[in-house]
Amino acid sequence: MRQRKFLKFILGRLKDVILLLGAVIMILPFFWVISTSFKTQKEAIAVPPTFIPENPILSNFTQVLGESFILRYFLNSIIVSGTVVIVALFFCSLTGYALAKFDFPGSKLFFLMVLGKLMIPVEALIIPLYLLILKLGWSDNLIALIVPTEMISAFGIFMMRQFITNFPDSIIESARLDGCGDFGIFWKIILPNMKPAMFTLGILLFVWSWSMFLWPLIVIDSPEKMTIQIGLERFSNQYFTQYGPKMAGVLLSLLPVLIVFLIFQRRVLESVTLSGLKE
Amino acid sequence: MKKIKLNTLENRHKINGMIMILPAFIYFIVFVYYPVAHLFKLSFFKYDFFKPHPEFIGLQNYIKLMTDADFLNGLGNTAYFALFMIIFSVGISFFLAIMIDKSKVLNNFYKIVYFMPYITPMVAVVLIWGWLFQPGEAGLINYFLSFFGIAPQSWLYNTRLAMPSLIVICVWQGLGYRTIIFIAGLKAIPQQYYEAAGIDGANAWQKIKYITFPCLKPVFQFVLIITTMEAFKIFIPMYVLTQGGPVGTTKTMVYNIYKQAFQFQKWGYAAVQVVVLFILLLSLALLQRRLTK
Repeated sequence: MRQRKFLKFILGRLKDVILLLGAVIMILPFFWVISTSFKTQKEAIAVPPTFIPENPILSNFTQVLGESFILRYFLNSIIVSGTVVIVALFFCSLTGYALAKFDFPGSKLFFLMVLGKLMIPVEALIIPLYLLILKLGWSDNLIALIVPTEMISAFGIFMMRQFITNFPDSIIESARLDGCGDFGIFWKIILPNMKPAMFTLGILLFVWSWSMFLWPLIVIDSPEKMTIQIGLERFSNQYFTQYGPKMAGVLLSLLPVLIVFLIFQRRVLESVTLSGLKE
Repeated sequence: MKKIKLNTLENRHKINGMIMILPAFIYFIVFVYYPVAHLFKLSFFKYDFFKPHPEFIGLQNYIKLMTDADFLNGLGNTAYFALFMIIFSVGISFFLAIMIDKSKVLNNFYKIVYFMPYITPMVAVVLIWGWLFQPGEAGLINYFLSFFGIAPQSWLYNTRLAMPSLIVICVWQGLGYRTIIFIAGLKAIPQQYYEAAGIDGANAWQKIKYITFPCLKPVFQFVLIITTMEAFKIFIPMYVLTQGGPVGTTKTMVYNIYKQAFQFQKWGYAAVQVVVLFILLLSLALLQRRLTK
């Protein structure tokens, strides 16, 4: 019995060691970016590497912000992600409301269309969508990154439908008796009550559209229209062997998402378990 | 009289419901289902830079594909990537989940830390690791390995090491996501099962084997399918770090599609490759739905 307890103790400590080691492996690359971005080129490629910069400098950041289009990339990403989130939240809630609380001809078929969209990967759509964008005259335009991506997100509709289905009918009925129409109910009752769900959905859509890469790479050509992801790729070629500025750029690009995650980590982690997201 | 009134009210709801979904309906037709149909259509046409007017050629694109060394190489590389990505990321994240679930202190800290790479945009992740995998002794990974007497490797420039290096990056990035899903699955297993097994004298391994594994079967299926789908769509690491090299060892299906379509403008021929990928991914998604039902 005593031996078993001892074994258990050892296994427990072993588990802690493995988990902590794993945590170090998860954090170290981030730490290394931060460290490199404050180093001079000489120190960045020094052998053996230094973990804490000996003479920390800020010039990598000022160089990146001054020389490159990085601020422009940020602005473009904010425009794209911001618009996608706002438009998607409205239409996903509206459509989700209709699917949850209305019985109309074709509702089953439409719901199948939503589920079908969830199974169609972006990769399957890129070629015909690009040809469509050319026809519409939207190539090399931010609108091509907003409209055909997740502006009306099937995942969002599915999620909002789920939440609104659980919303009590009695409240809707009493509003109706007070003379509120279907759209009034949506605006005055559903939307205010769905704030937490919409908030979570908004974060997911923001992270998703902020990280989008393949589609912008295809659609956008001119540097001043690039989003941060493809801008960063272009930029990393520009600074191919200048690791300080390169890592400064990387650090700047990942900060917004990381900050959003660290602030709302509970919500994000919960929503991940609710559904297979980010597909 | 009353009945008619009721009917009109009901009709009104029906119409309102239809109005509400109308924007989404049009959107899905224009930006999802029409393009999908167009994709299949394109795959039967010769349509490229030199032939701006599509010409119907039947199955010729498909026949050409079957003997296309580039396509087969891409398929092979993608399968290789997928296989190891699945084994390592599912295996490791399962054990991480068990350990994190059991640890009472730092539970939340671990969840956040392990999830951080997943939330980080892939381009940033890939650029960070490109720096870690730097050849020569300035690369951090080579530096660590030097303590074990391993000579510096040129990871991403070596035909044998390039793909494994990219697999390491993707496993690292995706661990947290899978771990979180496994933890949720573990939380859903009733604690009484373990208590009852404990009373019957089951040891830790037996508990995992006879309780955890069977209860987690649906979660395993989900994670396996999601990981396979993700792996077959892999593109960013190959595009940013290796450009499909060295000597084509990291060219994947999506990488080839991207090149064929958007650099050589072989729309028809690229469309066939997308169709193959799409059918593969769709069958996985349908399998997933069937299993969860």
